[in-house]
Amino acid sequence: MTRAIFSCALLMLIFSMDTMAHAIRFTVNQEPPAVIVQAAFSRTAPLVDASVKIFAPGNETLYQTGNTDKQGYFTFLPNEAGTWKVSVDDGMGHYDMMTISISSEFFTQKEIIIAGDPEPKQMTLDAIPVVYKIIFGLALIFGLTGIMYGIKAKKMVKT
Amino acid sequence: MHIADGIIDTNICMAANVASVAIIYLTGKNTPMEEIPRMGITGAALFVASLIHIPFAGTSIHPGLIGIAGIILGKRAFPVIFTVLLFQSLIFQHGGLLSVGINSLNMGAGAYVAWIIWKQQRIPEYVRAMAGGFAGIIIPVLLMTFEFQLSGYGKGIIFLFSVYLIVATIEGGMAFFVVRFFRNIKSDILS
Repeated sequence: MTRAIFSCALLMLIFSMDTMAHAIRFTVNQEPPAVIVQAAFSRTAPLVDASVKIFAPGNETLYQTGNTDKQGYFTFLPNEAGTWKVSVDDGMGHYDMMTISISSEFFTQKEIIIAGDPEPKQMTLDAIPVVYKIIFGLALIFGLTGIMYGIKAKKMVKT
Repeated sequence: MHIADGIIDTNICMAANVASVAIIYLTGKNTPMEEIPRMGITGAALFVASLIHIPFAGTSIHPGLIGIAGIILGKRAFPVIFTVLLFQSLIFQHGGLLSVGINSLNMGAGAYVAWIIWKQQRIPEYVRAMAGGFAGIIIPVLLMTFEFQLSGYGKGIIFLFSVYLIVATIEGGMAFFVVRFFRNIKSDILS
């Protein structure tokens, strides 16, 4: 039985390596005059035909709307420097909003390319390998189980 | 099946979080000591299983093992589902902290219905297992669709159901094999 459970656990761990089933990852390329963004669940699973909304800096009204293509890409042409907001929604409950900082150099330089998610929080979490995150999550669950078991055992000893 | 933050109204999400905490108290109180390791192992399986993504029709679907959790844990499945969803939102940004409650209520309802089906002794065991596994997915999808309709969101009932019907069928099959496995090894985990 132990061997079977261990094998199942190992298989599940292997299949969940290329994970992030719901977290949307953004890759941004600033190629003046365009900003190209790719939205994907993982390296092999782009968000296809997802609804995209773009908000200009300091403005809550929509600048542009559209949909991602078959590879999860969409493009827009910013007209001013500042922090742009981009939201992506696949209509299945998977939604995320990101910010893109467009500097004034964007409009003067010929080509600037910045790859990767510009949000520092996302970048930090993305930098951790998925397998470590899985192990961390499992450790939390088993740790919590141990704590609960310990509390119950202590209560039992007292009574 | 994890609803992300920003889709459902914040007030509804907050109410769902409060309701979830209350249900955790009700379903988790007086948990016998011997049930805790079972809850931990089921939680670990749920945590890893729902990270396996299958790209489908431009979106991402994954197994949930919600029905199986309901069959194994009964009403104790709810605190486990809530904990797993909380860790998934913190570590993987699946769903979101604000929508942990509403996601837990959706999936918890699936596990509860699976448990109700599992308790029907008149029905053959393997049929109960398959129906439980199927219900574990289809009930949360039903609730999720209803919530999407209320929020005026989503690609529509037909699209959602056609996608998740496949997952529910797979889960029904998985529940069958899980129950058969535990019966073959004469485990008391299903007692």
